[in-house]
Amino acid sequence: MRVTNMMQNTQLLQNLRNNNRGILEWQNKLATGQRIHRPGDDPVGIGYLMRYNSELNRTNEFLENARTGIGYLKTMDELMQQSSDVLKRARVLVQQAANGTIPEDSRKQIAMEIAQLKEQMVMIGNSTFAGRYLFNGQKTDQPPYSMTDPHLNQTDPGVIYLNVSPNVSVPVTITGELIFGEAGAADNVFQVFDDIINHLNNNEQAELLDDLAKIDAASDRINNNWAEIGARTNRFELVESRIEDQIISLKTLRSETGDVDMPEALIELMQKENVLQASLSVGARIMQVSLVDFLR
Amino acid sequence: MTSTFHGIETAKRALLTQQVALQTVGHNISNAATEGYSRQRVNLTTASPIEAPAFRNSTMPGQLGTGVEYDSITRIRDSFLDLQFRRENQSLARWEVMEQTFTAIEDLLNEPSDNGLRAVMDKFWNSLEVLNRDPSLLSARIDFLGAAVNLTDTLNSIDKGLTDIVSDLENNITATTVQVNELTRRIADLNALIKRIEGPNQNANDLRDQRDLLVDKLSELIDVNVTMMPDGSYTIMAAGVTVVEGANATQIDDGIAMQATGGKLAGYVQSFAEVENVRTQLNVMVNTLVTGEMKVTLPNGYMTSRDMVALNDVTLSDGTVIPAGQTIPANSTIVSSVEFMVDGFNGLHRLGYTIPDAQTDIPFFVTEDGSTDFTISNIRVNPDVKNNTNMIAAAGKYEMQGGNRVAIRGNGDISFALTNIRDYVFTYPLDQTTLGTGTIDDFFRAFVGQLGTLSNNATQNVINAKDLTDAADMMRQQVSGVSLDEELSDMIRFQHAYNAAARNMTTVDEMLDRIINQMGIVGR
Repeated sequence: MRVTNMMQNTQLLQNLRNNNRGILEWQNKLATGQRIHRPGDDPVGIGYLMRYNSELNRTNEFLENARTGIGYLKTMDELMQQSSDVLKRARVLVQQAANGTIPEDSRKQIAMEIAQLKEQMVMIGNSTFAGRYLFNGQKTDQPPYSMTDPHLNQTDPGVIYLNVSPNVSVPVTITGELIFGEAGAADNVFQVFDDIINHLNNNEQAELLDDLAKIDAASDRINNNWAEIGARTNRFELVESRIEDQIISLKTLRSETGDVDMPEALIELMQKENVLQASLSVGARIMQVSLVDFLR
Repeated sequence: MTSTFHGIETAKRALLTQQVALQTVGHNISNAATEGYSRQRVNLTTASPIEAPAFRNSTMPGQLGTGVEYDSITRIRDSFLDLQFRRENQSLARWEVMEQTFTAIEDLLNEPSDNGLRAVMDKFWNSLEVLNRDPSLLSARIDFLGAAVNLTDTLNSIDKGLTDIVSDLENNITATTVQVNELTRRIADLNALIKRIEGPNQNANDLRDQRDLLVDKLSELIDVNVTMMPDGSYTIMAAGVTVVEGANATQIDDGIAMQATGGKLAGYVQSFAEVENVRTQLNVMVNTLVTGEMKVTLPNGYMTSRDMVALNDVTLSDGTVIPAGQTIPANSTIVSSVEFMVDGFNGLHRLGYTIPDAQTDIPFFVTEDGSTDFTISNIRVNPDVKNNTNMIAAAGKYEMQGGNRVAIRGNGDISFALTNIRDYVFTYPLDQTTLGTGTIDDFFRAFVGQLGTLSNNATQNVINAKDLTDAADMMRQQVSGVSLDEELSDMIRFQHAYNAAARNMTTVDEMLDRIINQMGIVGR
C-alpha cells in the first residue's frame, strides 16, 4: 500500500471526528442527566418516556379528583352524623311526649323544640362544600330546601362523577330526596317533623307513638346513606393510596427509561477521552516525521 | 562511426532530462497539500540508438546508445476511483441535508420536554378534569380556555415552523441551482481549454486536475454522470439532462433541479416530502380530535337540543321509552343513561349548553378559513367562547325559569364526557397515517417515534456515507496523492543522475582535451 501525506491527514481527521462525536454525545448525556434529548436518540424509548410523563401529569389530576371527592364525602359524613343526632334527640323528645303523664302544655314546649330540630335539619339539607350545595344534585348553586315548605321541595337527581383513573369514574353526590325522603311523601323527614309538631300541638298521644316508628324509618334511611358515603370514602381513599403508589412506580419507570446510568456514562466518557488523547498524540508524532528530517 | 562529440551530446541530454525530472519533483512537493492535485511523473525513456536500420550500415559492432529523453509528463490518476468517490459524495450530501431537516423538525416539536406539544396536550386534558370537578367555577373555566388557546397556538406555531422549513428548502434549491450552473460553466470552459492544449505529447495535467475537482464539487450538489469523450472533454448528465457537452454548458432551472436523484438537491426535494408528511400526520391528529366520529356516554341523561338518535334504549322524564335507533324529539328530557355517536370534540361540545341562557350547538374549535377540515394551521378556539367563558358548554341540562331556558350551572355532564375523549380509541384514515386506531395521545407518541426512527436513520446514514466517502478519497489519495518521502527519494535519485551526467561531460571534455592539446606533439 502506498501511503501519502494527505492520507495520514484524512485518517487523523476522520478519527478525531469520530472520537469527538462520541465525547460530545456522552458529555451532553452527563451534563443533563438525560439519555434522550431528541426523538432520534431512542425512537422506541421516546414513546415510553412521553407516556410516563403524560401519565404522571394525569395521575396528579386524578389525585386531585380523589382528594376533592374525599373532601365532599367527609363533609357529607359529618352531616349524616349531625342529622342522625337530630333524629335521636327528636326520638327522645317524642318518646317523652308520648308518655301519658306529660301535661299538655309541656307537649307544646316539646313541639317548639321539635320545630327547632326541623330547622336544624333544613340547615343540614342546605349545607355546602366549597360554596356548592351538597344535596341538590347538579344544581349546586341553588339551596335545595326552603324554610317554609321543605317537605315539598324536589331536589335535582343529577349525580356528579369524578374520574379516578382512565375510564373509571366514581359518583360523589347523593341527592337530598334519597337521604331526607321524597318530596311530598308521608315518610319525608320534614313531613314527619311537621306531623309530630301537629300531633304535639293537638295533644294526640296515640299518633305520637306511630311517629316514633316514622322517626326510626327516617333514621334508617339516613344510616343507609351514611354507610354508602362511608363506602365511597373508602373507595376514594383506596384510589388515593393506589395513585400515590402509582406515582412512585411511574417515576421509577421514567427514570429507568430517560435517565443516564451515571457510572456507565462516566466510564464511557473516560474511555473516549483516552482514545482521543491517544489519537491526538499519535497523529502529532507521526505527522511531524518525514525523510526531510534525515537528509543533510 | 560515431561523432567525436557524441559523448557531450549524450551528457547534455541527460542534464536537461534530469533537470525536468527534478523540476517535476519540485512541482509535486509544492502541491503536496493542494486539493484535487494528482502527482505527476516524467516518463523517462532511452533516446533512439544512433544506428537506424538503413541501406548503409556501419560495420561497427553493437548499438551505441544516445542517452535519455522523456516522452511525456503525465498525472497518475484512476478514473474508476473518481467515479466511486462521486457516488459516495452524492449520497453523503443528500443524507446530510436529510439529517439537517429532521433535526429542524425535532427541534420544532421539542420532545421530550416540559413545553412541547405533548406537555401542552397534557395540560389541555388536565384542565378538562379541573373543569369537570366544578363546572360552575370561573377559574376552572378560565384555566380550560387558557389551555385550549395554548394548544391551538402551539399547533399554529408548529405549522409556521414547518412553513419556514419549507421556504428555507426552496431558497436552498434556488441557491444550489445557481452553484450548479456556475460549476458546469467552468467545467465547460476547462473542456475547451484542455482540448486546445492537448495534442501529441501534451497533457494538460493541472487543468484536468482542476476539472476533476470541479466535478467532485458538482457531485456534492447534484447527481452527476460523467462520460469521457475521445477528444478529452467531459460530457456530464445531471438530473436527467445533459448539462455539459464539450465547450457548452446548459443552465438548469429550479424545475429541473427538483428531478435530482443525488447530492444536496435530492436531499432538499426529499425533505419537502418529509415535512409534508409531518404536516399531514399532525393535521390528521387535529382533525380527528375535533371532528373524528366517536361514541359518548352521558350517565345522567341529557336534554336533547334537537331531534337525535341514541345508541341505546332511553327513558324520557314522562316515562316513555324510545328504543335505540329511533328519533328522540328535540327538547326531550332523557333521564336514563344515554349513548350517542358524535363528531369529535366539537360534536360533543355542540351538545352542551352555555350558562346562563342555555345556548347550544356552539363549536368549541373553528377553522380560521371556514374550511370543514381542521389543520394545524387553521385551528382556532371559537372567538365567541374565547371572549366569554360562559360559552363553554359544560352542562347537559337546562330548566325553564319564567319561560326562559336556564342552564344548570353545576351540571358538568358534557365536561365529564369531554374528559373521556382522551381515552377514546379513534380510527384514523389509513392512507395518511401509520397508526390505524388509538387514542390521540397514542397517535402523537407513535408519530414522534416514527419521526425519531427516520431521524436516527438519517444520522446513521450520514455517518456511513461519510466513512465511505473518506474511504473512497483515501483510495484516491493512495494512487494520486503526493508522498513527500517518495518525492524526496526521487529528488536524490535525479540529483545523483544529474551530478553524474555533469561528471560524464567533464570526462568527455578531458578526453577531447587530451586529443586536441596533447596528441601529435612528438618532437615539438
